[in-house]
Amino acid sequence: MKNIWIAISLFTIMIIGIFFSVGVINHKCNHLQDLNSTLESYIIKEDYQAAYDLSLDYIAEWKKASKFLTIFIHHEDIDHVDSEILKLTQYIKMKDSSEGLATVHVLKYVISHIMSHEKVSISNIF
Amino acid sequence: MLILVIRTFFLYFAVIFIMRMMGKKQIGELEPFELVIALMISDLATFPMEDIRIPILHAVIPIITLLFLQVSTSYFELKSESARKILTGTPSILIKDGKIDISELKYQRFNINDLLEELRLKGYFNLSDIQYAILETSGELSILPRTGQSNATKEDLNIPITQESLPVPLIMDGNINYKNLKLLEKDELWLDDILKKHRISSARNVFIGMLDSKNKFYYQLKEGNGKKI
Repeated sequence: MKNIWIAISLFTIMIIGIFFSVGVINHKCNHLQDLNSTLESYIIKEDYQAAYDLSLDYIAEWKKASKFLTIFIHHEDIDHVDSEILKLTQYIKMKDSSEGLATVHVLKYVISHIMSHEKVSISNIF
Repeated sequence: MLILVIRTFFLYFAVIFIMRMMGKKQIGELEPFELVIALMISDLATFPMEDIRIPILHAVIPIITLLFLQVSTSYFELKSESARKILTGTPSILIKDGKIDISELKYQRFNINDLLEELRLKGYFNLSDIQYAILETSGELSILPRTGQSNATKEDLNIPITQESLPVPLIMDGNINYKNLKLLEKDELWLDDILKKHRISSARNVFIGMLDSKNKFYYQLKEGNGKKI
């Protein structure tokens, strides 16, 4: 009987932990998506200085978020975002709007991919 | 590289903990669903062990879920006959009244050689010696021999017997087991008396000292030979 209760308690704690973690992952990813949108608008407006400053902030934000996200998501996704951010700063520095916009789009896709991975959906289950 | 060692340590103890939670049956004879769980757990644990890109939680979460499933399945099996039938199946009678049930043998995809091999392993070389052979849900074959072929017991031979008790270890590697002493309702003084009777100066010199099933003190000194008194 003791084992049954330990198993049930572990499972319950795990489910609560999962709900909490998914909430935190979504919160952090939504914040990053907002930064992506702002970056995109700066690049479209060709405000490269503001875009560059924001990209540096983005790196700092991502470093903080990724420490938490590595516990839950595949490290390949983290590496992907890492490399795209580093590229982005240089594209903005060189005022290359087409490459910059493309990179922001990739970032948007990867971040939404991280969020969609946690959604309970038919496509995720099968 | 070190991270692989740490992850292996973590997963090793996590799997041991989970297997212990699942009970003794999981380690010995497995029911179908238990075998499935054991295979899945071993697979789940090895992937993150070798690939550090996979978060360890990706192994821990399914393993805990499997633990929950195993424990709840066992619980339902305990409570419901129909759940037991669905999840574990029922034993199959392969030999009934000394006659092989060929259709059951085919249904279980158990060929005659398998049956004969299992019987030989159990010590029965003649089919005619067997009254019943039952294929248990764990895959083990239980055999009921014909009455004339079964071993004679002391009762059959009218030999007077006394019930033997479990042997109780009292000293192990020089350490007195106080829990077992208490179980026997004896104290250290009683043990000292016994040691003195056997000319042993201290329990520290004893490698193993126990009360055997006939209530006699058996001991072996750390450096000496075994003695039975």
